[in-house]
Amino acid sequence: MPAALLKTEQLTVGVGERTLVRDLDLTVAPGQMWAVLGQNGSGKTTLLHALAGLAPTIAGRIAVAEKTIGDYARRELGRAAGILLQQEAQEFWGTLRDYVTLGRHPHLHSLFGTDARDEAAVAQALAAFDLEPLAAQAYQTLSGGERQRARLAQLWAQDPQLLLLDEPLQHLDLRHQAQLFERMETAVRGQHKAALVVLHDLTWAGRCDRALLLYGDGRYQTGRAAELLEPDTLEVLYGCRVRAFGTGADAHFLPVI
Amino acid sequence: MMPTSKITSLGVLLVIAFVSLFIALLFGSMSFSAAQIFDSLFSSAPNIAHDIIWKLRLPRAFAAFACGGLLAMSGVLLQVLLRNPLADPYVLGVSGGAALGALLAMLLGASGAALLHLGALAGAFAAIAIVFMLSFRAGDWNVHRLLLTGIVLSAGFTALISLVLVLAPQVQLRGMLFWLMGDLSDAGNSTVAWIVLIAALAVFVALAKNLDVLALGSLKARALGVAVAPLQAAIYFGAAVATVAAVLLGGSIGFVGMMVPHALRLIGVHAHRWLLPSSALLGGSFVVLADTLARSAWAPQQLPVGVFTALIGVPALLILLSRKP
Repeated sequence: MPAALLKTEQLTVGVGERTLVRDLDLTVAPGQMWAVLGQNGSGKTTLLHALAGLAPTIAGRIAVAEKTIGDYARRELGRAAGILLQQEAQEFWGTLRDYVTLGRHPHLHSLFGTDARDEAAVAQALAAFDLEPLAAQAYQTLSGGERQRARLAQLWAQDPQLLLLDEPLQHLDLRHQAQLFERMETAVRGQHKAALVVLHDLTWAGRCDRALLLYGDGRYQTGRAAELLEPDTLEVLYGCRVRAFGTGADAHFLPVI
Repeated sequence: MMPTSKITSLGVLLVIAFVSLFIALLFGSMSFSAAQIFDSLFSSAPNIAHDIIWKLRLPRAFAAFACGGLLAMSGVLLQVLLRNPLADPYVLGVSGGAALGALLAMLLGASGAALLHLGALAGAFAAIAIVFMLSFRAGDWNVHRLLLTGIVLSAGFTALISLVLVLAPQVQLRGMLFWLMGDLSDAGNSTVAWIVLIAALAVFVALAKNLDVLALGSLKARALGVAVAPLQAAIYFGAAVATVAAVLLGGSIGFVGMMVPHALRLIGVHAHRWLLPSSALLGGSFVVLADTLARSAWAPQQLPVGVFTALIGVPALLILLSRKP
């Protein structure tokens, strides 16, 4: 097992003329779940795209499973790292099962389709997100939350070691929010994967063991989530007054209006 | 749909293809019975029926089929590339360039088919090169820029074509208009078109899984392990060459490239490994039938096939669209 599923050295990313994250040194070990927090436009998505090899970087090095991402073939990278995009195309002509099956693309061996292992992975992914009853439905007929679960199931079918999730909670109801965190914890703790999760809900961020705070001007902060999630830090991060309710894993944070 | 039903529907389309080719042999200014057609197809006794079928109707039916197959396949490819359901083989200006080239050749007095083809070929490749150079920068495709470049270029070609039409002497106008509307009456040997069709189908059916993923958007496709830029370049050139091959054979036959893929998607064929061959078969059959109508409806007067593809295609697609899903 690699010592680090993700390692960045002096990584700098930005959009256009704006540098959003400067000189990031980050090491993500198997079994770790990181919350990525910051204001709108602070570079969370840009960073995640760079880590998945989808966006250019300004400087620095990214290694996934101890191999520089530039040295990966696309398909191979698709098996090592997977990303849940915040937004994606809405039109898809097939069924939900067809959609989830596309997640197996980096694993396909034959020109003409899936083998038993692919089908087992798809079935497991559908079951993991309560999607079996909907599997034969046209993707177009699914609701927003169901589509979000379909995207998650597609990522689970892809089965990468490094999970990059950009706002995975969007559109999910309470039950499925909890289900997603259970699935992530199983993947990370049980299967020695690692996850970087962009979140706005600090209650769920408290379930992660680490946190990466992006200030949007190049500065960042890393550490244990339990230590970073406290009102003083959060007030600087979000630029608003924050009050804490409860302590430890039960801590909740609300803005003071 | 399960693969078995996909195979069934492909089989049905294959039967339709053969039936359409047979119908094309059956009708025309001279009528033959089915028995006469079988006789001349499978024996070499020289008579008028044999000559008409082997020298006129069969080559023309094959040319029509190749044309339709190429246009429909090209339509599928461009709809994936541009991620736009309205894309058709003509959206990138390839046919406009070809038409302008052909018309200029006519205007300059080119009489033989070879010179006409050369003009069309030059125009088409000029259009392909311009669009490609303007849209492909630093290995990164911007699909919107590609679409816009094509549309702008098409508009330019349309203006130039109008100019040529206005300046052209009366006697040449009819030939030019037929070329623009899509016409198979001068379609010669379709061997090259068939080679292009079969080769392109083989390549893109092999790449079909990648096309399925690309349809979700280029970011998603890259995240799922598709080398997007080379794939997009391959699609662009594949679609362009297919369009050129079709346009050289039959001019700008409209509506097939946009309609056929949609008709198939509406009946549930969407995975590209089925959609591509199905489109080629349906597009081919469709143009063969439209061309049979075009040359027999007002026989011996021959009408441009493009008129009939639209006349049949528009109501057919409207009915499919109004169906409850």
